This record gives sequence, structure tokens and C-alpha cells, in this order.
Amino acid sequence: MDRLADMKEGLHKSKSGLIRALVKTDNGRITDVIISGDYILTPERCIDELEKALIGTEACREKIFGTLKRFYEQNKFQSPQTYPEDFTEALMKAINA
Amino acid sequence: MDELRFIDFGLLDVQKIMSYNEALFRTAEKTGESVGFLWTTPKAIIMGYSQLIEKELNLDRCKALGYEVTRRISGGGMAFSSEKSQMQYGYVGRLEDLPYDMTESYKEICGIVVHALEKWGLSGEFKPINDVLCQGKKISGSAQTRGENMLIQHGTLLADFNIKEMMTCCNIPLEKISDKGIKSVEERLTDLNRALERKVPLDEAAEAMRMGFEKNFGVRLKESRLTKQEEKLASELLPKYYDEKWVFRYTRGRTRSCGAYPQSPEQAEFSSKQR
Repeated sequence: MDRLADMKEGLHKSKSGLIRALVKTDNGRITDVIISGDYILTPERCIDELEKALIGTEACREKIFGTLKRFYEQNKFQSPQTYPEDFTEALMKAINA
Repeated sequence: MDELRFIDFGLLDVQKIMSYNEALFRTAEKTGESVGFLWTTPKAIIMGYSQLIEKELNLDRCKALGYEVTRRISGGGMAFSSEKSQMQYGYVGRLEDLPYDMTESYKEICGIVVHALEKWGLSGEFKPINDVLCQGKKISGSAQTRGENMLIQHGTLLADFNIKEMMTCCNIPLEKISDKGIKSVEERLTDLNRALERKVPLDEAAEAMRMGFEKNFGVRLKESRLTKQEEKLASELLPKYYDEKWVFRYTRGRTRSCGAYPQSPEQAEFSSKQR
């Protein structure tokens, strides 16, 4: 099955690069997500963990921002000049596409 | 004066040099030994860890132009490489010797390129987060990833960069690849040939980069090669850089939201942290 076929896309430029979010929702919740792009976040496996953390989140700005903020607080990584607000923006653009 | 282990790999297939990069980094995690290295590749596109190839590239055009596509372990944007277009460098260094802040550590290591440019009397300027400018235009980009004890930074010093081919490989409409479109990229990007208004042979660029390593870290280079242990690890990692499950990890990998390569160490680390 083509994973990308039923995902919606949102683009947002953070100061470290482009965030290309792809999202699939079902019953108002995120069921699949890809946070791709050329932004900087290290160690990179945290990007995979972030995607995993977003699964099941209600597809609204407040809940998505909450998940991202918690992820930033609870995990040790660096994402210079890219913030939870940037990921939220890309994800919301995808959800509303 | 301190010594820095140094390897000049010369021209190598992109998959092979990516396996060498990873093997040097992972071995250094255990030994704590810093190492600098240089290489060039035939035509290749090296995607950042989280770039979605299906959206970023036009694979038919890449293939028609003879570009191999693979993915590296560090994040950031794609790197277009070819035999004469640039000199590429790598540096594996101890985290305890470098600033914790990523931008500051980029600045410190990008000093290699800034010092290399001095060979020609050119003034290089670090531009946060990970670029070096020359005459106000980007001449070098770098990417970095970190482990527990070490970081690896790899990047490029452009020598004779083909902007039109880069644009053709990207997933943008052909009509946008006009003289005007190319000119607008030329306003932001330069290379040694443009900066010096002559053809700069790559061995000259390699010599400058060696000088850059020495001056930046205040060291003398100690010529080296891969150890048997590194070669063994590299040969185990090599299939990853050809494997669609890694290169097209978002769509052809085995997992949905966690796309790391199933047989790779980072996937093992990731899985163990989930348990």
C-alpha cells in the first residue's frame, strides 16, 4: 500500500530549515505521521520518537502543541532555531490541507 | 604539537563512503579517538536523515543524469556530489572537547573550511546554523549527528558546482529551471571556481582542507587508514546504504512511524529505549 497516498501535507519553514509534515487522521485523531524535511534535530532518532508520540493525539492545535511541548521537556535533544510552535504549524497546515 | 588521525579516502562510491563515515563514528564512540577525513564521490545525492525522497527528488531525472541516491545518518538537507564538484570532509570529535550548543560546535568545526579558504586569500564567514559563506554566498554546508561520547560532522567545500543539474534532480517543474531560476540560485551559492575565476583542481582543494584541519585544531595530521575493526564494521554497514528500507525509509521501511533501518545500530538503540 502506498503510505503517502492518504496522507495530507503541510509545509512550514523554521529558521533551521523546511518542515514537511504528512498526516493521516481518523475520527479526529492522528493515526500516521511523518515529520520530514531539512530542519536540524539531533540525535535524529528523536524525530522517530516524536512521530511515535504524536500517534493518537487529537488533531487540534492545542493538543498537538501540548504533545510537542511535553516531548521537548521530557527528551534530551537539540533543535537549534526550531521550536514546538514550528512543528505545530506544519502539522496544522497538513491537517487543514 | 598534538596529532590528529587523518584519512584521505580519495574517490569512492557514495554508499561505501557513507559506511566508512558511520563505521568511524561508531568505533570512535568506543575508543574516543578523533579523526579527520576527506573524500569525493561520483555523481550522488546524499539525503538527510529525515528527508522524504519521494517529495524532494525527481527520481527519473536523477537516474537519467546518472545520480546515485542514498541517505546519511545525520539530518539537514540533501548534498549533491560529483567527482569534480567539491571536496567533502568529515570530522569525528569528542563531545567533551566541543561546545554542547550545536550552533557553537558547528562554528568551531566549520573553522576547517574557513581556514582552508585562507589558502587562496579568501575570507570565509560562518553563517549559523551550519554554512560557510565566501564573498557573501554559501560555499560550504555541513551536517552533524551526535552519539553518547562523540559527534560526527561532515560537509562540503564546493569547487565546480552544477546548479542546473541540482535543480533538475529536485522535484520542481522543468519550466522553473530557466536562466532566471539558475541565476537566483547563483546569487546565493558560489564555488571555488567562481570565487577565484579559474579552474581549481580538487587536489588543490584537498591540500587547502588539510591545512584547514591543521590550523583549526592546532594539530599536525597523522596519515592513517581504516583499522581492521573499522573495515569489518563498514562492510557490515555497507548493505544499509543500498537498501531501499533505509534509503526510502518512510515508504519502504518495515515500520510506519518509526522509520529507522531495522538492522542498524540506531534502530537497536531505539528499540531498547522503548522497552
